[in-house]
Amino acid sequence: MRVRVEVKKRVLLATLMGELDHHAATQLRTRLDRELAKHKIKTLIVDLSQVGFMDSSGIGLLIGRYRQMQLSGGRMCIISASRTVDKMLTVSGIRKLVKVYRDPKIALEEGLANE
Amino acid sequence: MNEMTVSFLSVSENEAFARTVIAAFIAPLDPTVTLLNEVKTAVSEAVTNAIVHGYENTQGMVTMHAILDGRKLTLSVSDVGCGIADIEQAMVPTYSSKPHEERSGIGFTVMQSFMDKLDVVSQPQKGTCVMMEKQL
Ligand SMILES: Nc1ncnc2c1ncn2[C@@H]1O[C@H](COP(=O)(O)OP(=O)(O)OP(=O)(O)O)[C@@H](O)[C@H]1O
Ligand SMILES: [Mg+2]
Repeated sequence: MRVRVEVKKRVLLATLMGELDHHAATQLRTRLDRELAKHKIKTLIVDLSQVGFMDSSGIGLLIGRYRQMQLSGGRMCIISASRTVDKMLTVSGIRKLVKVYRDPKIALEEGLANE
Repeated sequence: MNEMTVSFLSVSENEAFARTVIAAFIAPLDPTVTLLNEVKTAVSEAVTNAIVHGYENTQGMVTMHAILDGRKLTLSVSDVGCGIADIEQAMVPTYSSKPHEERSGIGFTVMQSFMDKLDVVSQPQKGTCVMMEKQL
């Protein structure tokens, strides 16, 4: 799993690439939390459109970051594209908590507008 | 008819290994992308459970066994770890014994919804065997 982190104002766009399982989630958690704290992030956007595989450990990571953003008064949203990832989002019920976008541009614009 | 068994150490790198193995095993059937991903996800859930719950902070061997009979896949993932005291409770959607480790308790729910059949046999201090079936 690789991750690309882009920070604009207090919006963080994390683009994940590869397979998001327990192994990857453990490493990703530390990295994301460090970036969130460092830049005092208000909006976290997690782009899953380049994730080819995700299981419940990925869902755990997403819900964990969502809770964290809530605690700090921030927001979080997800970008999804692949069928496989979409299905996990549905089965897990995370859609009730976190807004899922198709287009990273729109998510980013909305995030910046909320500054 | 085909059959295979693999055993591997309970380290998280082997989650991807197990997915690759099962994908290769069923590849000759040329399953749809959807079916392939469902099987890979179910295997990933069972193997991850063996690693994070079964062996917790210890290490042991995880065994994956699979049989292909026509287009019917029967597979099991087993460990000789701590076992499950209350299987019924463990299978309840969103129940997790490790919520503090950011587990959402949906692993069994995922296995159930992605496979046709799921059976769990477990005994405290002896280990756990998760059996699944799917028509490919
Ligand atoms: N191989 C195993 N050995 C011991 N206990 C297990 C095993 N598999 C599952 N369990 C128990 O069953 C519970 C439910 O498992 P399930 O996979 O549904 O959720 P989880 O692993 O806790 O969370 P998630 O899979 O969503 O990350 C676990 O919390 C654990 O207590
Ligand atoms: Mg699990």
